[in-house]
Amino acid sequence: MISRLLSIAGNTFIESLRRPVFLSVLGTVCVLLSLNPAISTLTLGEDDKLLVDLGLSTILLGGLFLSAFIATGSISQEIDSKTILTILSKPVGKFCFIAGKYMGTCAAISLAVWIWSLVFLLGIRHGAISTAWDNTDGPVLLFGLGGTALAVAIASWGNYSRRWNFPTTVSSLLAAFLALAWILVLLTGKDWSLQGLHTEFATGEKQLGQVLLALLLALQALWILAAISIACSTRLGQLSTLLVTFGVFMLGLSSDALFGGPGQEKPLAALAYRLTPNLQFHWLADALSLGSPVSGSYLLLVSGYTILFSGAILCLATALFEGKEAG
Amino acid sequence: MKTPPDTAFVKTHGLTKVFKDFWLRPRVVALEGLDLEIRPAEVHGLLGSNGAGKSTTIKLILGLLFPTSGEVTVFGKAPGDVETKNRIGYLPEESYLYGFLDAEEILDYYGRLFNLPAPTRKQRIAELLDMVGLQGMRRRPLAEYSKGMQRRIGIAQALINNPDLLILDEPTTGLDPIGAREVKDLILKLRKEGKSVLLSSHRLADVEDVCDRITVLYGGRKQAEGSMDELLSSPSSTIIETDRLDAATIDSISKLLEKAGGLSIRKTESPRQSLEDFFLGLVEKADREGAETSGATGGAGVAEFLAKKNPTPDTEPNSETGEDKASTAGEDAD
Repeated sequence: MISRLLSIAGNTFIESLRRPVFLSVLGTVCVLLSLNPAISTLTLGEDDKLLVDLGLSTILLGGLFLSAFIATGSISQEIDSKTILTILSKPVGKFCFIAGKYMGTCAAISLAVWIWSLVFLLGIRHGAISTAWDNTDGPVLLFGLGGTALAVAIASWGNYSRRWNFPTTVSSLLAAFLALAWILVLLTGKDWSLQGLHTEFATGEKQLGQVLLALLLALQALWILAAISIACSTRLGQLSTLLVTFGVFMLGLSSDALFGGPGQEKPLAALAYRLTPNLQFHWLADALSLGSPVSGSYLLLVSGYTILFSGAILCLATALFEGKEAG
Repeated sequence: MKTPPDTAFVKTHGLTKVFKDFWLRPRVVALEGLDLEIRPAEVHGLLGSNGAGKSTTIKLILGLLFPTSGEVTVFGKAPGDVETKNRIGYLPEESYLYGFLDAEEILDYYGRLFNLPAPTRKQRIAELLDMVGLQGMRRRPLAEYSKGMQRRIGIAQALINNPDLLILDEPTTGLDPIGAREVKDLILKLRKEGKSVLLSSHRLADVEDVCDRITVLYGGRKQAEGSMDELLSSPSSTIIETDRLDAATIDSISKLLEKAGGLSIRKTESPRQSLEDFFLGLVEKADREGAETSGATGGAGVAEFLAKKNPTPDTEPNSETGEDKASTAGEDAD
């Protein structure tokens, strides 16, 4: 069971990376995050807060698009293209199939969020560019742009001369090179002086530790949305699944306002509050703006919520899929 | 999961499938009251026109569709039983494959779904690619393959687990005459090794060449069932094939028949070579002369792991590796 699960997850991961939509969304969000330090100056005195707010929103929305497109395609496309016939004629149970698809989709989304987070963190280190005469951060530009250029160059060469798959190669290399770039940037001050790895974290102003927590929770929100997309795609077509996923995302971000509070006394509102994923648990941008730190126990609590909610949705997906004919 | 001796691999009784519309009203009766048996070491043909219910029957046997009424058992179990599928190989009517993978990757993926150990997968993939003549194109994405080449990979994936029951839905569609001949050779070889094959095809000649028994469907109902001899033999005439005879000899045979009981020769003709034999002869000649091709080549014969004889048709699969004990025993014996 575990080996089959991992095989299906691995295949879904590779398929997701090789789909054109993955590279398009990955690239677009990377460009938007790179422009973040310049865009976030369009406010009076709150540049750095907007930088974080804008970055987190961009990552969450990019992840939503990616999650919706990949998760939607992963099952409904198998049904439409009938590749599901060859899979289900093998010794693969329907729960194993659904869970494998979910794990592969989450792995692809996590890879994208990893890359975006690194671009975002490099942007935070650079800081907002308020005026034309602001000093640029040399190490960020050199290591960040250098790593990106090297990844693109190697992937292009591999594709041209060795027939390596470009999207897969460039994503994998970006994940590695940008991580290296961030570590080098952490070790180098803006004036190129060497510093300890912890120096940037110790600067309370940037709340780097809290930003990392916020990124982790945003990723968990995307895992919940992926589970919802997968459950929908067992029964609905691609367009309907996309609409439902976007709808749940909107509801999830406003469930406290819509169904929470005093409204919970009404049975329907209480039911809706419990059935809708509360994505506000995962949205730490407001806490970061207010400077209220989030504890490790909150992270554990929300992680538990993510696991339980996603697990319940996957069980529902299996029940929906169990009764579906694959002919 | 042993199949008792003399038990059919597949048994259906009164199998009926009705497709319904959105309002659950019956839309199409695809299959009605089908009784069918596929026995060990038998090649069973499923014949019928378009929409006769052949593919529906296969999907019901595989548990991909659910019957409206009636029963179906595969190796004595319900068709949806996951472990039973360790013993089945299936080629769908179209080669539904992942275009973003190459030939090696897709066979490796399917091998993993059967929990085959890595060395076994590696060996089987090499043998299967040799068998279907695609060793030279193993690193090309399947999206770049022609329809016939995809069909060959489809056949390879159906065999990766060395199945006891092979279900082939229109296996020769899209194949060139060499590929079609190789599929027929493969079916005969598998039967010799004690495996069963369910073959659904429009190509009557293919069915006639390889099948032991056939079931003919029309409009979702069984129209005829039996062995090829029972259904096709013509007991009122005899054909004798000899070397070429001259007119005088034919005349004397005719007189002999007349004298023996008032019989007569109805037809005399010099048989000609079939177009298939003629074509294959030309390809073999081109191959011998070293002519180059960027397409599929003739296969290297049936893969070695498929040619290892099963001691009995009622093999028990190894739940850990997905390999049947017969095949493992065969490997050990070597």
